[in-house]
Amino acid sequence: MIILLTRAEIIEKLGTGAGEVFAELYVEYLPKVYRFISYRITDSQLAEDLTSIVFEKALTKFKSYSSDKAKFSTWIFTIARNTLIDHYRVNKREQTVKLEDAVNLVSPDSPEDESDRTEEMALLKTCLAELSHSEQEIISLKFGAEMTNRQIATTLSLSESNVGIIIYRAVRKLRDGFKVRQ
Amino acid sequence: MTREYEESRIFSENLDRLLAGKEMKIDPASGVELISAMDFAKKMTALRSEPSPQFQANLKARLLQQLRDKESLQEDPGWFGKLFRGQRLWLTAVVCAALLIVVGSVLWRTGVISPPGSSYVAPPVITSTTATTTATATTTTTTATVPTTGPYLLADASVDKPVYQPGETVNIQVNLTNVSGRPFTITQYPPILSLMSSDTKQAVYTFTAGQMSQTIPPGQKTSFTLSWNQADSKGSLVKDGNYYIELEDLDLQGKAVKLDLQKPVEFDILAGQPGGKTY
Repeated sequence: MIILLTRAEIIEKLGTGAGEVFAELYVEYLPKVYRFISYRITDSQLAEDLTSIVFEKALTKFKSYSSDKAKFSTWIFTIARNTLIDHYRVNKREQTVKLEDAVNLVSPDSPEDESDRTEEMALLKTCLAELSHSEQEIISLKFGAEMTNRQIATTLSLSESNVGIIIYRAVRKLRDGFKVRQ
Repeated sequence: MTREYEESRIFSENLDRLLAGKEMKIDPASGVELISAMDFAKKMTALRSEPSPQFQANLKARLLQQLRDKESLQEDPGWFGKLFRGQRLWLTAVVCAALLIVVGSVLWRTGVISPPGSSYVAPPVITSTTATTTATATTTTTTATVPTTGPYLLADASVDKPVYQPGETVNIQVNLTNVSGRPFTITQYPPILSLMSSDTKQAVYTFTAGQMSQTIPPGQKTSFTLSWNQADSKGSLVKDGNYYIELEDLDLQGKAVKLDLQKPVEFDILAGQPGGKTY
């Protein structure tokens, strides 16, 4: 029955069968929310904790959500962004990792491919930390949340063309920083 | 149209294709800079972190259980309702007994009635925290059984003007009244407050939760004031338009304590340059 409903009808199906509705949205959005957060938070355990907080808040507020006011993706990423803002304000520090620390994170028993990947991920996050806050946020919304430029523009009150240029410049900065450090 | 603008447009189109799981359309005649950027975007996509299957399954199970608990509280009248359904006389007797218990507990709390030889014992305290506390924060403990139903707090707020010039400070006052019948402690006071754009329905600025603990006696209210300089989370002045205030729910052992304003509080910010004539 749920499968035959349109997405708008599913989201409006509150009060009864909300478990199935939420479960479907959870399956679609959990990886995106997790990736969005993990672009800003290096520690994977902390990224999981913050992702849990986002979905627990979303579940608490789910009955008051209305697709007339905002799309579900806009709504849940607003919760995610606010959760990150609160985390940074409470902890008052940026989440970065140095390359040498990242090397220590690799288990000596890991296969070589996995250790290369872990090292490259840490290097990428080091380069990300050197971008401005707005560039970091746009990159995490693009690569993590997989938002279109138009959605990012709406979320951050920017023009769509401006978002496109910022992403292009930020990726080139990351590429150059990556090359220098490799 | 500059070269960079054109390249960024092609880059964005291909990046959207890549993120949708499709092949990028790279024209070999594209500049070296563009091709190199697209190659790096592929690398970035491949290096993305994914949530572990165990984390996904555990969180899903926890959320569904919370949802089932909520639904069963709403739908199930409980053994109480089932036992006395359709039995008026029993229902009357039960209501009278409940009234006697309520009156008796009020008299006991106010000291009119007390067990012989006992001294007055402070009423139990409800302790809550904000809903945004991270998982690593200290968990709060309650010293009494928590009522399963609210409301606990009534929230009302006001701003000092209905209309503001650009850059003018918006002074916000919030009052929280404890209607729970027991002392209510907010461990991160004041609670989180967001300034919302009526246009986008999104927060443009959020005041984070405070670090002090505040206990509100039953029937009493507490107030706090915040001043907003019309800056968004990036420090830029917000656009002209209509804005409203929203308070974040509190968390009471996994249950949400709503802080919905009894009356919506909204105000307008005019267009123009900062430092204009005061309204």
